Amino acid sequence: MVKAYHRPAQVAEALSLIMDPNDKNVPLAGGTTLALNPRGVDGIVDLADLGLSYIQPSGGSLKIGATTVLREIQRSEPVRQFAGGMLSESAKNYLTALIRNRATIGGILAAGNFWADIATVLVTLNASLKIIQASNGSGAGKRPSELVVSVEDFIQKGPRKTLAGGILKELEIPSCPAGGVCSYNRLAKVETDISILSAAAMVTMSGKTVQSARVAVSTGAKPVRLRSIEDNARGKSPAALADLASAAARAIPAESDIRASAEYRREVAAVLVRRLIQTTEVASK
Amino acid sequence: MKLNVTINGEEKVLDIHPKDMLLDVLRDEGFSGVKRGCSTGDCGACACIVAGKAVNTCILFAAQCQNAQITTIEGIGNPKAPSPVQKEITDAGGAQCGFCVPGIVVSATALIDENPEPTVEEIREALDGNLCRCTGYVKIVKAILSASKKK
Repeated sequence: MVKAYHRPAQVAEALSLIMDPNDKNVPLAGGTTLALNPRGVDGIVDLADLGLSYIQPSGGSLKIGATTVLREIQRSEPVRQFAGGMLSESAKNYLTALIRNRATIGGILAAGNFWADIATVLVTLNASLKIIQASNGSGAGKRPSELVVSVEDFIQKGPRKTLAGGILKELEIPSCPAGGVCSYNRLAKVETDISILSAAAMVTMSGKTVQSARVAVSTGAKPVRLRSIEDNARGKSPAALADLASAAARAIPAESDIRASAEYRREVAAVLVRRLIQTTEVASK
Repeated sequence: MKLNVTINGEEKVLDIHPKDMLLDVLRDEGFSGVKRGCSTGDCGACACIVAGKAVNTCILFAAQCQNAQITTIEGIGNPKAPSPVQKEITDAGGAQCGFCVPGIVVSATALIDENPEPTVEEIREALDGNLCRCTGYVKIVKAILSASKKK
């Protein structure tokens, strides 16, 4: 049961609270996931005062502080102009406005809510995460160390292993390359529900053929990249790429749950991805 | 622990436990217009404005609201002095069983506060977390649209 609430003003203090061997203290950003199930938690470490809420265009890329709420990301003009608008759009598709006003980009990743469409979009855009961890070294004056991991690795290895008692500080999202087309689509029963499927693609063209492609598909649990087709995309016509991507999407493992059966997800993933690549082709003309 | 908050313009020091959700704290303080619906952040009946943003208070630790300004439905209006949103919803027949109405008024008020002339699309987005089981959405959206124009 939650017995204590901490609101540190310094990162070092937050880290030492989280690493406390006697109490199970967990970091809290917006709290919308933790509040649903705080069992086994002794103390909350609220990250609200660490100054990690910001959106900074930096060169072509975007830097977003880990405790920036999704509604800010959704509405931010630089984000709306970024990567064909798919980052803003996927933030908007995270549950409801009442939740988006509190749920943070770092919080939903650290909580493992990889079913969120924005996770699919971040993997497609090759976003990376900056993590701050307490240094292993002893002695006074030791400074926390920083680690950079891709969102894709963070999702594959899992938050617990990757964070290792650290906290998320910042996301860095490279822009869609010049001449590239970024697009995203989803299938959900209603707008505010968790998606049955989501997919995002970043495709660059060289004349009439594809130069490079990066495609991520989520069949509900977490996004998976279609690496086999990414490696063979170069020189293909967009129509040929759409066929390949569609077949690859059908082969992604899927689970059945209350929203859809595994068979349905695989069948429709093939259609969703085909349409996604076709949209990309239309947009590049 | 002590929680310093301003509720509907009145400063208060409340005695809370770190595990308490804001919804329970507000209802214990007598703000019974804040409704408990699903308790899981799905329905929006418990919505209040905290630090200028409409949020679900059932999944918000009260401790997170230290020094925050909180507006509950009681701070927006009452039957004798309804707010423009409340008046329009009443006139339009937007209130049926009434359970979702406090949350809807809160979401609509927070929207109009930051965007005095919202489009229908913006109203629908701001209210996407408020479920009405009587499904009176058409009249509700119309009412909010006319309330915003009158403001």
